[in-house]
Order: sequence, then structure tokens, then C-alpha cells
Amino acid sequence: MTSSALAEARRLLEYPPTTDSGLWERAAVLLSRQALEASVERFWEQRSPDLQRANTRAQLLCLSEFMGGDTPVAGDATQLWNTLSRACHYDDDYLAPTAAEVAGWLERAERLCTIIDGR
Amino acid sequence: MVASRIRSIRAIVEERIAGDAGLDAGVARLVRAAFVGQLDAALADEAVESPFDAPPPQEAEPAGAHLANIAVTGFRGIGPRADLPLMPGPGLTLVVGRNGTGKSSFAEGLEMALTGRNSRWDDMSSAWMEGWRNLHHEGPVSVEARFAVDGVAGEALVSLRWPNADFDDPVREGLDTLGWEDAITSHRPLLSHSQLSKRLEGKPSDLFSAMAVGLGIEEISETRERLRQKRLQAERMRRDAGKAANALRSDLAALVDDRASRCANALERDPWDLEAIEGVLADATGGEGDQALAILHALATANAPASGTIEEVRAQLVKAHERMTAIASSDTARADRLLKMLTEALALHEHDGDQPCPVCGEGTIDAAWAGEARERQARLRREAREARAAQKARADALDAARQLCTATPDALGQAERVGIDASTAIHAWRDWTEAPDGEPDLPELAERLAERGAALQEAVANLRASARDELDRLQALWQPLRQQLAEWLPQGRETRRAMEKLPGIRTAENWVKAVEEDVRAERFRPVAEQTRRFWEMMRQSSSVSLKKIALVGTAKQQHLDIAVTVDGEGGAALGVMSQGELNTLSLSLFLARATLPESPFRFLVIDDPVQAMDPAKVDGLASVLEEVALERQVIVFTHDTRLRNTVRQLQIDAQIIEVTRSLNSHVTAQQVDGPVRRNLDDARAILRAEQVHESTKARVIPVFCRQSLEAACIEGIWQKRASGGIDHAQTEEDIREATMLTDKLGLLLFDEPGRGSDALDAVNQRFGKAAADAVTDCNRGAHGEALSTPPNTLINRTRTLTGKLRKMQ
Repeated sequence: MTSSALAEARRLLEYPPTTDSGLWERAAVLLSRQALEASVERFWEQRSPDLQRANTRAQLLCLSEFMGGDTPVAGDATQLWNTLSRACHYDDDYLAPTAAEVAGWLERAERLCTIIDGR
Repeated sequence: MVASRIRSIRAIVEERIAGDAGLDAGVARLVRAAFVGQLDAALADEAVESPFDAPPPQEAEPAGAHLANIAVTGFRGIGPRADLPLMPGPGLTLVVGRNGTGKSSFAEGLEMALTGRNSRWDDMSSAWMEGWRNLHHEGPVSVEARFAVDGVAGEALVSLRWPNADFDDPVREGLDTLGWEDAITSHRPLLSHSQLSKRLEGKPSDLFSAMAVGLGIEEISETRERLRQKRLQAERMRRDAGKAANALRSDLAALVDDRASRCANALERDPWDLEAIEGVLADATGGEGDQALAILHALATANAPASGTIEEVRAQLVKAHERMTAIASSDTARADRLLKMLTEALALHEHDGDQPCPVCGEGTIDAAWAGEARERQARLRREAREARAAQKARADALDAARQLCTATPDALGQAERVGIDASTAIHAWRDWTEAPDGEPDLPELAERLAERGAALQEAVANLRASARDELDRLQALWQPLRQQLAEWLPQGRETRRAMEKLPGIRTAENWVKAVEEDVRAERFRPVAEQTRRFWEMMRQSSSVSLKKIALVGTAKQQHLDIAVTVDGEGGAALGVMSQGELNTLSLSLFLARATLPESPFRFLVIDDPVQAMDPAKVDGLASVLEEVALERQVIVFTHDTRLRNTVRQLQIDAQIIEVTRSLNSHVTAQQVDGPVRRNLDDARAILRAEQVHESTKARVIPVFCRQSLEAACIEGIWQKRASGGIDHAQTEEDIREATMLTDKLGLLLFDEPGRGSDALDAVNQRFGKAAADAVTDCNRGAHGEALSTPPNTLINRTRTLTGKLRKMQ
């Protein structure tokens, strides 16, 4: 399921259906965030199902404790989720992300999802 | 802690000298002498007074410090006294606030107190400068910065006060006692946005100086400069003396004068043959070897036979002629025969007496006859004597005439060589010496002597005159040159001495220059590497990659060499970078310089770094600041919300201080966020999350409470210990080793490491049972044990305790 969202994001980045600037990048960002959220939710299935229904911030805050405090994965996931969330919203403070930035985030999402799914 | 000072330059130079087998001993001597400032002595072959191997002077190490507080009164945007309290330890602090809240007044005030200047104002009009005083404030104006200094109990104060209303003479105090006067330039801990943008746009040599300062290689630069000055001086001498010598040489060459040509030749030599010139000048007559002058002198003193002598010889000839003429009628042979016959006849008469004349037979020889005969005999004898004398006189006169006609003097034959026309004299002399044909005729000879003698005398007198004129002319030309040569000689001698030393000086200078460049490059390398690292962290999606950054060249050619590639293509210049990229590069350079281990400043103050920065670079900047803040106190003033947002988004531990301004420039700085508060916020977020199970909350909430308490401990520890006379590095290490919450509490409460086991009791005693229970619950929850109180109670107790821990002094 995760992989399908990420695969779609990658496809949009590499073969955008139109050249409308910004649109497909933003879509890829949304798909990446969904994939990350889905991975974290799946993580709770085994560990603490109550958290599956909690808001994402609570899920992410608890992630570190349940993954073992010494792994940077929880922190990385929180950072990436924050970054993707910001990029999803139109914000006067920030310019639209570049394709290169989105590609970087997608790579991080792919990596983190693989790790979280593997736990 | 201040890192021990880098190895002494003197030791490096000595090591290089020892390691350079190709280095001439004399050159090494010059290098050492130049190093200790005794180049002149060494060049004069005198002993160099200060031995090079004496230990270098010990410099007092500047104290390392964290910034504890900035208090500003009546300055710029701030009216009544406003304090910006800071945690005097490593960590990131963002001072945020809208534009015009007086936030920058803290940064500008600190800059003025530390440097006496404000970089933002440097380019501003005086109207701007005059706006320094806050309009809402009456009374004294001051900026007071307090520092927690390594190993020093109590805070150090650096202040800036305006005792009167005159902006021009603020009193700056405190910097010198901290030993920061040099370091404030070399490791400037302050950076404002205006500097950031100006930094890379200045002259290459200025940028070079800004980056090269503080590398601690001044001694070697000074050594190089001394050698350079000495070389320039020698070259200038060579130029000046050479110019003078060339002018003299061409003047000398224009003279037909051996003295001049010998001096000209001497100046032609390399090096100049000054001894030859000295020889020429020492001899007033021009010296033995001077043929032309000798010829001229000979011509000037050439003599024809004196007119008196000629007259005497002429008279002698005339007289001899007269005597000869007088005796010419008499027949001396017959007179001799007659005398002989008379003498015989008288002897006959005397012997035989009177008798007839035996010769004629007619007359008688008697007494009367004998008387006549005797008279006749005497007359004949007289005539014979006179004839002999006349003959002799003639011979003598001819002899005298011959002697008078001496050969032509040699000098006349050489006159042409020195440009004198002697042909008249030569002809006259040839005429004079010419012998007459046949038997000499005395009257004719006498006439000829008189005539030709007069002609000769006139010709020789003319010749002498022209020779003397020529001598005078040469002397007139030579004399000023001689004077000039004499005046030039000391300069020439000094220059020749300097020229002998010049190759050594040149070699020494080049040698030192090479060492200087090496050492500088070596010492700059850490800065360059750190700059590149920071750039890589901040460049994010920039296509510009920093390939090389180095300080190159000396003197006017020196510059900061920055090689960049764009999308991997090399050869690009800084011009390809956007303003945001330039600022980022400049910031990388600043951070790399300011974080060198030898900097005494454990704090960095950056005013508005985010302007003109891409969002992606703000992410990078936050990461760089986070890294630098691990070891340094990093204080960033920003009105831009992006950095604050990014710090939160990237979960970077940072104290957020918000500056607000109310009526009448009343400015307040208040901590609004930080690790203590953020962890409590996170704990509350979990608490409020409806779907989360109580057991999950009991498991996770204590973790955040513990982290909040730990953050509070660290703040409290720095507040307490930074100005408590404890080495800051020691505090850093103690904090690092206090891994457990109780360890940190022990360190805070007992002010010494290893007291973790006593911490709980101490918390109980000082802050009560609720506080101690909170600490216990924080540890329990983390180990999955049941809590003694509900999670919300734990959060509240934690909040109360953090407030107390942070304020412990």
C-alpha cells in the first residue's frame, strides 16, 4: 500500500502528465506524506493499536519511545513529516518546493518507510 | 576552554631552516636576523644581538567566555533598561521579534560595546548615526554586556556608556581586562546581515586580510616585509646610483681624456671598479699611465733655443769671420820661411859678427841690420799667432752653431695624437737643424741662424700656447666631472656593498615568502574545510559546489581564491552565485572562522542571517546552527519567522526569546520556547490525544517530562557554574557524563559530578516530596513501571520543578 503511494509519487515526479509548474510536485509531496503516515500507522498495529487512531503528532511523539529511544528514525520521520506538511500548504512565507527538493524528500520517505515497515 | 596556542612561528621557521639543505648559511642568517628585526646588523656583518633561539615571548591567552546578559538603556529602539538574559552555555538561542521591537538594538549595542563600531552604521549617513539616542528616554545611556568567563568567579562586564549627550565619546570599559582586544578582530564573534552581504563583494585583498587575520602568522609576514623593504631599498639605491653613474659615464665618454675614459671604463664594469676611479682621482696630474696628458704637458713646455744663445752664436760666427778676413791677406807659409831665414841670419851675425850678406852679396849684415831684423822677426811671430787664433775661433763658432741646432723633440711628433697641429713647428725645427751645403760660409750661417731661430721660436711659442690651451680646456671639462665623481663615490661604494648583499636578501625574501604561504595555507586549511562543510550543509539544492577555498599570494596579489563549479562544470567565478548563495557562503566563512578552537569567544551572535536566503537554505542553516551550538553558544537575532519555524520543524533544541515593545520604548525580552517547554508541550499533546490508551500515555509522558527536567537541569547548571569560576570545558564534560536524570540533578544540586545517588534526597529536601515523586515517576515510566500519580499531575509537577531548577543560582 505504502509502496503504491510512493511509486505513484515517483512516477509523477519523473513523468509529470503536464508541465504545469508546481502542481505535480505538490501532489508528490502529498503522496509521500500519506505513505509515511500509513507506515507509522501500520507500525502501531502490532505495538500499540490505540495509537493508530491518535493524531499524527501524538503518533510521531510516541514513535521514539516504542522504537527504542536511541534510533534516529523517529526524529527523522517527525522532521520529514513536518517538512512535508509545510510543503503541502500554501504559505506566503515559503516558495513552492523545487523538483529537486521534492525528489530529496521522496527519497527520505522511501528510506524511512522501508525501515519502519521492517520493524 | 581556549585551545593551547598553535605552535610558535619561530619554531616552524627554525625547523624549515634545519630541513632545507639547499638553504645557504648566509641566507639563513638573514632570515633569522629579519625575524628578530636586526637585518641591518646582519647586513653590516655585525653580530645579531638577540639570539634567534631564545624562547619566544609568552603571550597571555585571552579568556574564553559565554554571554550571560545584555542590558541596554536608552539606546536606539530601547528606552528604559531592558535585559536580554541568556543561558551562558552552549546551545542555540533565537531572539525573535517583529521589526522595530528593539531586538536589533541588543545586537547593535553588543557590537558597539565589543568593537566600538557598528558595521551597519559604517555606511550610513550621519543623520542615521545621530539617531542613536532613544527618544523616550531621559538620563544616562548605556550598554552593558555580562560574560561568564572560563575559570573566573563572577561575571565580567563590558560596558559602553555615554556620560554626556555627546555621541562621539562613549566610554568603553572592560575589554582590555579580558584580553580580547586582538581577538575581537581576529575571531570576531559578531555577524550582521549588512556585513554578510558586504563581505564577499569587497576588494579581494580586503577579503584576504579579513580571512588571514588571526592565523597567527604576523611574525613571518613581518619578517618577509622587512626583507622586502630592504630589497626595495637596495634596488632603489641601485636605480639611483646607477642613473647617476650612467649620466657620469656618458659625460666621461664624451671627453678625449684618458682620466675620463678610464673612469668611464670602470663604471662600465659590473660591479663597478671603484678602486680604478679612486686611483684616477687620487693623482692630480692624471697618473703615469696617462699618455695624452704627458704629451700635452711636453708640448706645453717644449723649448726652442733661447734667442740670447742664438745671438751669441751669431756674434761669435761674425767675429770669427772678421778675424779670418783680417788674416786672409798674409802668407803665413812664407812668413814662416822668412822667419826661419831671419832667425838663421841673426844667429850667423851673432856668431861671426858683421859681414857681407851671404844671400845677396851686395849688402852687409851689421848691427843696424840686426836691429831691424829683430823687429821684423817679432812682427812675423805675432802674425803667425794671430792666424792660428782666428782658425780656432772659426772652428769654435761652427761648433757652437752645430750644438745649437738640436734634433726635433719627440713630443712634436706625437702632437697629432692629442689633436694639436704642430706642423709649423716641425717644419721650423727641420729648417733649423738643416745643415748648409759645402764649406760653411760664416756670415751666411750667422744670418741663417738668426732668421731660422726667430721662426723656430715663434712656431714653438705658438705650439706651446695651443698645448696649454688644450690642457686648460681638458681641465675645465674634467674638473667638474672629477668633482661629481668624488661626490658620487660614497654612494657608489654603499650601493656596491648593498648589491653584494642583494642576491642574499632576494633569496631570503623568496624563501620566507614560500614559508609564509605554506604556513598560511596550512593554518587556513581547517577554516577552508569547515567552510566547505558548512556550505555543503547549507547549499541544499544549489547547483554551485565549492571546490576550493584558499588564501593565495602576498602583498598586492593576495586574495581569497574561491573555486566553484556549477552543476559540476568548473572554472566558474563567484559571479554565478545569487545574492542568497553569496550570503550563505559568507556565513559559512564567518562560522568557520569564528568556531576555530583558538577563539576565546564561546559565543556567536548573528543578526538576521536569513534574509535573502532560499527556504531550503534556511533548513541547512538550522542544521549548521544546531551543529555549531553543540559546542558554542549561538545567539541568532531574526525577525523572520522562517528560522524559528524551521527549528521547530526539524526538532532542533533551541531557546526562543521573544522581544516585544510596548509604549514609550519599553522593551521586554521573554523566553517563549525552549527544550524545557517543548517537551512539556509534547507531553501535554499526548495527554490530550483522546484515542491513546492510558497505559501508552503512562509510558510516553514520563519520557517527555524527564527530557524537560534534564533540559532544565542543563540550563540551571550553566547558569550556576558558568560564572562560578569553573572551566567551561569541565562543565561541558560533566554534563556529557551525567547521562541519567539523577546524575544531572546531582551535578546541579551539589555542583559536582558523581552525586546522582544523592540527588533524589536533595530534591526531596529542597523542593518537597511532590518534586521528588515527579523525578521518581519520570524514571519509572521510562522503565515501564506504574506511576505514583496520574500523568497530568506528573506534567504539572514537572513544570513546577523545571521552573525552580532553571533559576538555581
